[in-house]
Amino acid sequence: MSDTLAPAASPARASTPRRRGPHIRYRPLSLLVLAATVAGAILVLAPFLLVLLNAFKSQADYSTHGPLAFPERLDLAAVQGYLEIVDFPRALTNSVVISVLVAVLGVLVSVLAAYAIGIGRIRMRTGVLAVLLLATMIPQEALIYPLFSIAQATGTLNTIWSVTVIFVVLQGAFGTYLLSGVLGTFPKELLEAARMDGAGRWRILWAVVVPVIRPTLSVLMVFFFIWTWNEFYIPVVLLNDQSAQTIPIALATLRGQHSVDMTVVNAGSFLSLLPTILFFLIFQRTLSNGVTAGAVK
Amino acid sequence: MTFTRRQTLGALGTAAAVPALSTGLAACGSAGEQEDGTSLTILQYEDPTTAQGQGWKRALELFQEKHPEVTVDFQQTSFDAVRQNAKITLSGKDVPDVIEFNKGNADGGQLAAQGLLTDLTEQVSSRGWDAKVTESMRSFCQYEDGMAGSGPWYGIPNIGEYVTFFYNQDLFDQHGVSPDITDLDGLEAAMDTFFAAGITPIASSAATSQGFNQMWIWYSLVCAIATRDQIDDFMFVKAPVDFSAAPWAEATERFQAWIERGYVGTGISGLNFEQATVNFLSGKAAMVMWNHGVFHRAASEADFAWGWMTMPGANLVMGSSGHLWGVPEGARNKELAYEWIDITLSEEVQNLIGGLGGLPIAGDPSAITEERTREYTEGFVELMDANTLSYYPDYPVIGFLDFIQEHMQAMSNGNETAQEYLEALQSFYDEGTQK
Repeated sequence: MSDTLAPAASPARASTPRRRGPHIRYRPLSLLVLAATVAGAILVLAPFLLVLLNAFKSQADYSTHGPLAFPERLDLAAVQGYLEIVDFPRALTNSVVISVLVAVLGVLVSVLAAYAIGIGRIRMRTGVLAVLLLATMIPQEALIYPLFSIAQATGTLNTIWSVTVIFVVLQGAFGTYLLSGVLGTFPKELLEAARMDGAGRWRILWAVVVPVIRPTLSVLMVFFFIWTWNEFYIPVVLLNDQSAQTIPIALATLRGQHSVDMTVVNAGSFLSLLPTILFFLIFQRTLSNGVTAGAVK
Repeated sequence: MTFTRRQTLGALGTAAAVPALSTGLAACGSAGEQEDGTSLTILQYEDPTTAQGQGWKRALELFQEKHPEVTVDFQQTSFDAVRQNAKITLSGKDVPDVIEFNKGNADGGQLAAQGLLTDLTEQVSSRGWDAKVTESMRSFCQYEDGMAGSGPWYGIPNIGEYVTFFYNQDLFDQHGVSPDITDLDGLEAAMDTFFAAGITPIASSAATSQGFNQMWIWYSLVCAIATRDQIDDFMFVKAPVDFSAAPWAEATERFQAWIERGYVGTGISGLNFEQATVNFLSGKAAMVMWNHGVFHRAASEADFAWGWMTMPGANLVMGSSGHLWGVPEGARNKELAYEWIDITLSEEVQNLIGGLGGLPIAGDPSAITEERTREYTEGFVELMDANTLSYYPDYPVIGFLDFIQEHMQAMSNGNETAQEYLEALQSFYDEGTQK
């Protein structure tokens, strides 16, 4: 990409005294960097390309020429097959609803709890954090029987709500742990100033604390979304019914014990990847901003 | 700045209220308890595009014609989901009325032993299912204390499967090899010809995840020289098994020789069955050992002439029934569940499955019009009637599949000898079966 940018667009280069010639001159080092970047990009894109390559290939073509060959012609049978086997719109809706709810509610729970622990400095806060950390460290397999009983008792089994509530709590526990650390080092001057101006605790939270840590919250929200989207074990136990299945579970229904239709799996993976890629493109700025937030004060 | 305890509790209360609220909402959304006799919930995991899936689609129509007043919920899940969750799902209070479950001691045996499945013995005799499910198909329907082979009935299969070599007729012709091979020595001579010509004789795989080909070849070699009693002793833990004697020792030594002579190709320890299948279908290998999965794929995808044969001169052939219908102990509509199973065993559904190459256990092969499918089905029925199917090797002990796969990979890499494998096998099997 870098070679397509006009050098004039960069102020650093525009200020160099050397006059630009009619063609751009590359220094050997920048060429080397470019080559490395391209190689890196190919490496990152390879799995996606492989999925794309095989999603639109006929099964016969796949069997005869293998997964690496270019398709003989565009074939939509695999995509159609996938849509026939799996209720894709339903699974997509379920996944989006669950992930969005968990992302939003999980961050909300984390902020409220972390405010009390990190800034409110409640008693036993270390103990509370230890319990929350423990909750995120316990393997899901150990939790599954109680979770199943609770979902059954509340009548939420086979509905997306059981999974939503569970992940709000699980992600919320992790978020609280993380944000408590962030808020523990929150500048006291800001809080004092706000109190001087007569702001109450509620107001301080929403008018002072949240705006300052917003980049961190955005990252947390994106992570919660992606983690929840990819969750397999708890949803596969709690959501047997196709009407409540999420995308990863719908994909798993394609695999038998001794049989797997690779082109259909690829078509399914491709369709399932699209929303996450879209999500990433929309939020990539948030992501990269959040990662570097606080690096420079 | 510190919060008082009361304020803290208040804040936590607000936080806790959010999930509580959504729980309340969810409770309204879930379906209410259904009455007996008005609904049937079927939980299964067959791909709807397969022969069996198509047959069940028809069975569903037949069921609806017979019971228009019943609401049928035909749920689609996955093999892995049932393997992982059947126990949890069936111990709940809202269980399906019919479930497709995995055969074998590790799966069906456990479900039966824990009282999660209904004893079907009475239905089997009153509805005449025992006439349709014949001897070798029956073994994994019956469990006594979680061990297959005898005892009350808990499952009913619809289809069967068997494992054969599929061969590339074009490659055989090209190298002057006839597929009419009568014994293992003849097979080895044929494989020598291919190997000398630079063609992999058998496409295989040995990845610990899904690389089942080597295991199937090894077990087919065992079954080739085993007697019915020897396999039954091993499979149903009827008598102690000595793995250092025939047929185990001899077959495993031969298997090691096959690996060393390059009959099964090189670098297979990272491949899975899908890649082995592609290696055969793309013409890189002369043969592959697999079940009806390759039959269907070769029929629609192979651009060469092909055929199949069981392991030459074999006494017994690897194969078994398909997965099973069961009725959960907590099912609310058991009568309808029995009715459903009965319909899937009906002539119409069975013959529909047969016509699509699904190897039905109670179909009529002569009703199949497509010649190759008929021959393939007749081959299966012959083995079924002669009671010479020898199941899959991982059934007897829980965790056996992972154990065998690991050792298959080690042997294929040349990291383990037949002797070492047999010793490990002896101790694993003895430990796993002494309870």
